[in-house]
Amino acid sequence: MIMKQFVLLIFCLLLISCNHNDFENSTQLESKIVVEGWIESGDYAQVILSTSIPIAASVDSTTILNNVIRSAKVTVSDGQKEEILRLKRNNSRIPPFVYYGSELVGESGKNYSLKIEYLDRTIQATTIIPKTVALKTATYIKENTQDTTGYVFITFNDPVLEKNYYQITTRIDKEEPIFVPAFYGNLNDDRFTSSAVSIQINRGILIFPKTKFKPYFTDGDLIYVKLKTLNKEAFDFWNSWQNEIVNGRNPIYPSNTSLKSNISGGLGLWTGYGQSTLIVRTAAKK
Amino acid sequence: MKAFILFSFLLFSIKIPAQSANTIEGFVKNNDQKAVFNADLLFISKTKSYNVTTDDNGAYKIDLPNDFYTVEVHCVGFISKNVNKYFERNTLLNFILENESSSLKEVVVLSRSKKMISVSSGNTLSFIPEKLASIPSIMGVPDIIKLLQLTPGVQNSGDANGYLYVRGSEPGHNLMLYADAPIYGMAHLLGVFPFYNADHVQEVHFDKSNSNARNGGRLSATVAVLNNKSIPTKFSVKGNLGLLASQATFAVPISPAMGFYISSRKTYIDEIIAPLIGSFDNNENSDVKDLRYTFGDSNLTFIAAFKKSSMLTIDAFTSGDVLRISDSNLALNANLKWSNTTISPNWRYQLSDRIVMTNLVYFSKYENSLNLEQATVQMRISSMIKDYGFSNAVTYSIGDTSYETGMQWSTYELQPQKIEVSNLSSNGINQQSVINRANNLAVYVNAKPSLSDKIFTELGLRINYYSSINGKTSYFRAEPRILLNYIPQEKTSFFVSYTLQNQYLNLITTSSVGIPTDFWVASSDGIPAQSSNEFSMGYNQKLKKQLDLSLSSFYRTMNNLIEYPYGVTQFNEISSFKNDVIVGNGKSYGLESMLKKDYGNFKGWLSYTLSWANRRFDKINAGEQYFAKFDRRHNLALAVTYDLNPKWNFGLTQIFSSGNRFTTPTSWYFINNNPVKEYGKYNNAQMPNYIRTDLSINYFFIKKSDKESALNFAIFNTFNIVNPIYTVLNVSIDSEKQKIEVTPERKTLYSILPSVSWRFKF
Repeated sequence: MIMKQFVLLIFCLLLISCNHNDFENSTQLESKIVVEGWIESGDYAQVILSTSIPIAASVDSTTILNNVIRSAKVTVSDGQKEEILRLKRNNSRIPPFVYYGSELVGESGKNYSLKIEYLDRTIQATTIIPKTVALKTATYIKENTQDTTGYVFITFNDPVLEKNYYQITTRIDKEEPIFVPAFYGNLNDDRFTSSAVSIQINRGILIFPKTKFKPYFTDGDLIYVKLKTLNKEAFDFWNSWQNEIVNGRNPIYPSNTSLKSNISGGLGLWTGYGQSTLIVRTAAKK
Repeated sequence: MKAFILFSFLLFSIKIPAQSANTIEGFVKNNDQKAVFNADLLFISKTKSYNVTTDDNGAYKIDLPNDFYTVEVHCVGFISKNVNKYFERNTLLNFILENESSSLKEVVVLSRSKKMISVSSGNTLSFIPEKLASIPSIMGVPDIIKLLQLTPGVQNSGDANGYLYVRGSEPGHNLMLYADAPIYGMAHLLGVFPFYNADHVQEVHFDKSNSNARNGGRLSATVAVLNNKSIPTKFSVKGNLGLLASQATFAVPISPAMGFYISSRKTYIDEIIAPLIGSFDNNENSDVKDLRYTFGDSNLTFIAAFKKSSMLTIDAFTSGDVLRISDSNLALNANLKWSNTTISPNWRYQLSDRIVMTNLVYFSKYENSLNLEQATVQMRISSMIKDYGFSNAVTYSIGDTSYETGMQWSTYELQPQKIEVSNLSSNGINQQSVINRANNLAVYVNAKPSLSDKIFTELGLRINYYSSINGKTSYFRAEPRILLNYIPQEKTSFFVSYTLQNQYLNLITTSSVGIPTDFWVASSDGIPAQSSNEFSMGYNQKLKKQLDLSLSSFYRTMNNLIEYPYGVTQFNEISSFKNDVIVGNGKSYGLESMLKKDYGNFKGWLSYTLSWANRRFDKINAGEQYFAKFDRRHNLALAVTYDLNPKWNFGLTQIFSSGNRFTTPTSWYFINNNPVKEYGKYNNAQMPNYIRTDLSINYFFIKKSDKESALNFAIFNTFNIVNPIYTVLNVSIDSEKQKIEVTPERKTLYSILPSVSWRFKF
């Protein structure tokens, strides 16, 4: 008798649990506003606006335009003056539309706020341009003189009394349309043992256009090396970006967290950079 | 040996002047005249029942009032024996138990309530791995962890994971004891190979709720692996020769009172298999271009008996794994190593008839290291835990109540996750190289009083004092353990239990699949101690035709669970665990059922678990409750064997379980022209249902108790069902660089996998 009751109980629970609506289907494919905006010292602000693309949707050069936000009002202010940015096409960027500034020039030490008005939404973010730290040298060095590839070494002086975060980026002329963050190129000055810093650059990855990942540079490359200074928020953002790029498919240390962001109500980053750029000429291709 | 011992059993009485209380003593031995230790003898009179357990020499002694008794002798692995006898004087009574030759009889749910005694509950079970060799397994040898996963309350860990998930807890919540010493590294790569060499293991005890106060320091279950403690009488060897690995165990007698067992296992995937597979593996889509794996382990058990009352055993265990990965696309070279070393000398001394003292000293170490070379950056991530311990336990009885009192002292040394990066800048990065040290002292007492002839209890109290040396953290906590058994009639029993447990060493899991990069941290500044409460109740019923049914339910709460979601994201940022760990709570509940048939040619069990495992972390999913990773709603396992005749034997396992949870991205976007993913809520997605059917066929050339030669053919995942282990998002860009597609791709480990192995015993 007791037996039967127990069996009945089990079956009842089975039925209940089968009807129980788990949130296994709650993987909502949602779309959020993505901001990729920056203002460098000595340059105008640039902002790329798009919406995130649901998983499993494919995009090509025409459908990607559906995810570009081209009708937003983008305002940048330094607290005294403000400017409405204007949209222009830029095929070296994905998505290929950028809101450009033309009046406010970035200055170190100043705060910049971003306001985006799109449909009925308003998205805001603020940032600062940290003091620029000058690149002292950037040199192309080959292990053996017969090699056709080599690495770039840079040196700079980290100001001892200031808290600094750095990002090293490189761009190869005619090969890469934009600056690419160097591999493990986000640096925190806590790590420096002396103020004279010397570092080897590992080339970063640019997935689109797809190139085979090479950590080194090649003879014939004309290399732009940019040392950026940035605040903690931006530093954290780029660290999470790097983790995503490096470990996105890594089962050992999977990246399964979203990128950090300083955009309230959206994704992405609005940041100011101090910047110092040097050009490295490599030996001509044989 | 002695001539008076007959084949089955023998009663032998010596006349001594009559007393109101008689001393009954003797030995329990097996067919080979070897002592049977831990055998339970139950003396049942009309009014009362008494029980006694044999010591390591197979001896027992009990005082009984004059009465007529039914004597029952039970021991796992042996056919039980019954005899009726009137005791009116001191009596010598010896028993010979026959080995159970066929499999599966040994999955004895230690609920002795069914057998009319009353000392255990439906939360425990034990088995002899050797006897479960007919149950299909990938390597043709019993896998203790995978066998436990076929029992109620234990989640199926899936294909690429060798961990144990018990009643909604995490793997680090289980106390894994090897010859009474804790083991900290608990799996081989992806769980493919059995963690323990089952040939060396005599018996496995599994307690889902840790009712015994002797076991502590974890939130969930205890898996105690016990080695053979009988001194070998003759040299023998047994083992298994397989396609991917082989193992051998030698039993070596030194003298009649001394001997040892030594075992070894080794894989040879790299030497033989990898070159064969290599040629098929060179397709472009393969994630890992070159993967090499090898592991080996050794076990040693040394036994020496000094006089009748004293016994020394030394158990040692060492294992090492190496995994190498290279991928030219990512300019990656990785080398992952992990190893365990454990040694535990144990001295057992019989102070008097009713008092036994056990002293144990142990050392256990687990370490892993990942050396990663990507581009020109070298990174080394390593972790380590060392545990030195001493324990003393005394078992005794006062009146009809048996007691165990003990003290356990451990000192821990941990290196949580040391990250060294070189060539990042002129200065190497070296972080978290702090070594955590902590001590733990526990005293406990266990008593087994009977409240009436139908209500039997097991009461325990464990008191812990934990202190972390660098963190200046200390905890002083008491843990009650209560188990009540109610046996209204011979075939029916009920139990209720409550357990409170604390855990001070926490396992941090970083990998989404079973790659042992996980590490241990000790509770200290910023890392809290964990605690759990568990209520369970159950019912056991002996049905007709030797069917046993057990049903139980549990409700468990867990506090201060730890998640470490960053992995190595932060490696070039100064971080401390204090800032990065996320602390929250967990709750799990469920119903477990098992139907088991122990006798006949057709034997086996059916296990079904319906359970929920929830988590709530303030910093995850905005404090909303979510499902734990191994929250599988339904877990169904069927394990059966069929003895056709003495030559042929068949085995089948069928597993069905709901998919486990994982976190999946919901959308993607571009940053700096690179696609990046935006993840949804934590554990927002569920894998498809896991379904697997395994078959095995054993053909015995020789099948005797001391000699065996058998071929094992097994088919793993017979119907080739795709059970993904994780999903990745593929970013595919067409050749004209015009089109980008991001699609989820499911990664699987096994398709259908046939194997053959030869098992031998001489």
